[in-house]
Amino acid sequence: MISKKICLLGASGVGKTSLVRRFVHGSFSDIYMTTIGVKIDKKIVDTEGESLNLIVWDLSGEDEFSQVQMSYLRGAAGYLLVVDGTRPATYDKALELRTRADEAFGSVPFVLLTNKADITDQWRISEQDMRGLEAQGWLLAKTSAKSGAGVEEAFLLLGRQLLAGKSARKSAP
Amino acid sequence: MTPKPQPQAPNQRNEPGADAALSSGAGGNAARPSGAGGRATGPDEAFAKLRHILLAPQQQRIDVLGERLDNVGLRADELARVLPKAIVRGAQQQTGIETALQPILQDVLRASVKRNPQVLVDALFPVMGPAIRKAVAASVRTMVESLNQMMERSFTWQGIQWRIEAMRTGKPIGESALAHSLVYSVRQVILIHRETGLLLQAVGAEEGSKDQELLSAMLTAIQQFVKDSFEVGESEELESLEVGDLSVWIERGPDAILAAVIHGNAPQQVRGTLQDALSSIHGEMTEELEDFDGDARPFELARPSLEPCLRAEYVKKEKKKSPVLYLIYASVLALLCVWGFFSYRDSARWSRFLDLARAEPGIVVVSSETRDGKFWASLLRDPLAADPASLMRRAEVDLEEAAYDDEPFLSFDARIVSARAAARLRSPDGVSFQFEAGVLTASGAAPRAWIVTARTEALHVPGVSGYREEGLSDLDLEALLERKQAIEREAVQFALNTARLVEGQQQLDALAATIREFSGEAAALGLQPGIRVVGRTDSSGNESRNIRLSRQRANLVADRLVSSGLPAAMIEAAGVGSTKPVTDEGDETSRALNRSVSVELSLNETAEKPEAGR
Repeated sequence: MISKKICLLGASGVGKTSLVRRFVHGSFSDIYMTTIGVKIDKKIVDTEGESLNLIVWDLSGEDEFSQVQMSYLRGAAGYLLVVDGTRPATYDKALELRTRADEAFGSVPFVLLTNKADITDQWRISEQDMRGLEAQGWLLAKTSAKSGAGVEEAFLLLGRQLLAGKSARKSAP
Repeated sequence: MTPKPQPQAPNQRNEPGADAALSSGAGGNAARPSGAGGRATGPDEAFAKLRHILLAPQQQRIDVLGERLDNVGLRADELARVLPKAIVRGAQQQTGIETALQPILQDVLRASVKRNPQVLVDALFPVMGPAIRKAVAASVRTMVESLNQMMERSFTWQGIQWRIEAMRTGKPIGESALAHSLVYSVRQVILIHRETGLLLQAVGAEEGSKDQELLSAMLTAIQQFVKDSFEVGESEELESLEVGDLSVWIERGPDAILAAVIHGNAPQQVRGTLQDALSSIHGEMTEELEDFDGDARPFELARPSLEPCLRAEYVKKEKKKSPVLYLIYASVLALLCVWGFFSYRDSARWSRFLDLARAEPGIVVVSSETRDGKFWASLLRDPLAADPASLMRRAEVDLEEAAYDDEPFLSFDARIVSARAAARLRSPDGVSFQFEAGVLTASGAAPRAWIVTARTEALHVPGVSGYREEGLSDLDLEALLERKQAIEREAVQFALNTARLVEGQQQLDALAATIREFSGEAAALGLQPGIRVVGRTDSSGNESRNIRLSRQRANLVADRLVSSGLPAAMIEAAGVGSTKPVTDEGDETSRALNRSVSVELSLNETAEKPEAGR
């Protein structure tokens, strides 16, 4: 079975840890998040008939008091950028984090998750911005850590991207 | 030999023209102009031009190459540029460049140290300092831990065992203690991809431990955290994690990390084993490591390299005993104490019984032993000796726990022979025996018949070879003598100056009867009585007359005794006048007492007494 390291990035309070909790049954305590800034879990997903072992590094969120430890991204096959649909600032932070990640470790597959899909009526991120990103080839997904909607699909979407990247590498001369 | 080319300015070299061609001097056979400013003519000139047209570029290149070869400065510059790349490639392609350079480098280092050691010291100090500190710290830590354990166990049974072992093997106690202190077990070895932190392979997973894939990732994260947080140098890495008795040792290779989960205090050799395993995996699986894309299956092949890392060194650990076990031990100890007490007490009592038996006359202790948990004694016992059971009771020996067998025998112990004599002779009360050197001595008082019988019977008592009866009184004889004295005290009084009885015939008859009775008793004891009838007078009158009168009086009494039936042969009559008065004459009463006849009795032995030693 193929194993892949993926990371969750985003501003503080966007619901990354809640998403992971929805997705996996964790082994480690959340206390690791506050001590070393990362909590690691594992989830096996089946995508297109192939099992993929995802090692999920949930990185602590970034705000004015703390920075994401970008070195944790080293070796990641892909990542999930999480934003809070109700807080436009988290969208800007996601764009910044994506740029920093690209600069530090090169371009790898990622999916932008707009969380809190259960309260879309309170979203303050415009559909136009979303469509702009989509036009640039970004993969977008809407999730709700509260209801669990879209969470599994979002991880599967990234998983498929990772396997596609692997196939592409295999087929490259 | 190629002529040396003249240096030219680059712009001049590239200009085409006859002068340039000629001045280049290419080829030893090149035609030269005949004079300064002269011009070649004819076919030679044409040939020179043609040659110039055809060969000028090559000629120029040859010139440049020649210059590079001949110019030492240029060549050095070029070599300086190429040499590092050449060395790197040589190392990569395994051309043996390391082997070639090794002696040169050794000589260089040797010469450098010889010339000025400080240079090398300064260069190595930043590297050697931390390395030495690290090595010393690791050694001290290991030693301190071991010494702590040693101190903890110094006054234990194990500590004493180590000391005995040290004395036996001739090794220092510290070495022996350290050898026993290093107890460890490498429980898990995890091979981690260095870049991604993904698990490549693991051996020795413990039941109930965390998922090894998560452990791999977490270890990678922790390393990254430490590195980022403490701003350590590029080459500095986290080497171990320690929590209580558990430690995780980490070894790094270019593409993989080896983490060993260790319980206890492992020696540094374990790190060497980890390094060897990691080197081996890197050597054998270089391509797999470099091309790793998340598929760990190829690293099954790494298991043989990892498994030797699962080393363990065990010592016998004393298990903590449960309170119940202590209770059982205490109970057993208490029982042992009780058993020991009773065993000692019974043994002491048995010894006391044996002492009593040995001291007891008529008992000989032949042997003593324990049979089926019981005390047992073999005895020889005279029938007259004390009952061994009574001795056991005196010694407080439990008769249920002890027994004896006794064989009868005749004891010659003095007390037993005396007892045997008393039993055999049926001695009356008041008779006792002493036995010494084969001679039995009777004492006390006994009837004459018993005394006579004993004289013969005593010699038939086993062990008795002689008999004495000193101190043995004859009860019958004593009674007879008392009676004799009573008879002799009696006096038959006569009237003054006559042979006429004062109290009449009756008194004389009574006296005769008493003497006859006495005579019979004496005869019964084997004695022959003799009767001397003595007549007296008072002191008045003529003494010769008194003698005659006293003789008449004696004869009168003697005749009467004979007439009463006593043999005349045993009777003697004598008159002593007033020479032997019964009492001093002070008045008429005392004179009347002296006018009397009395008898003196004697007893002659007729039966002979047995003599000792007969």
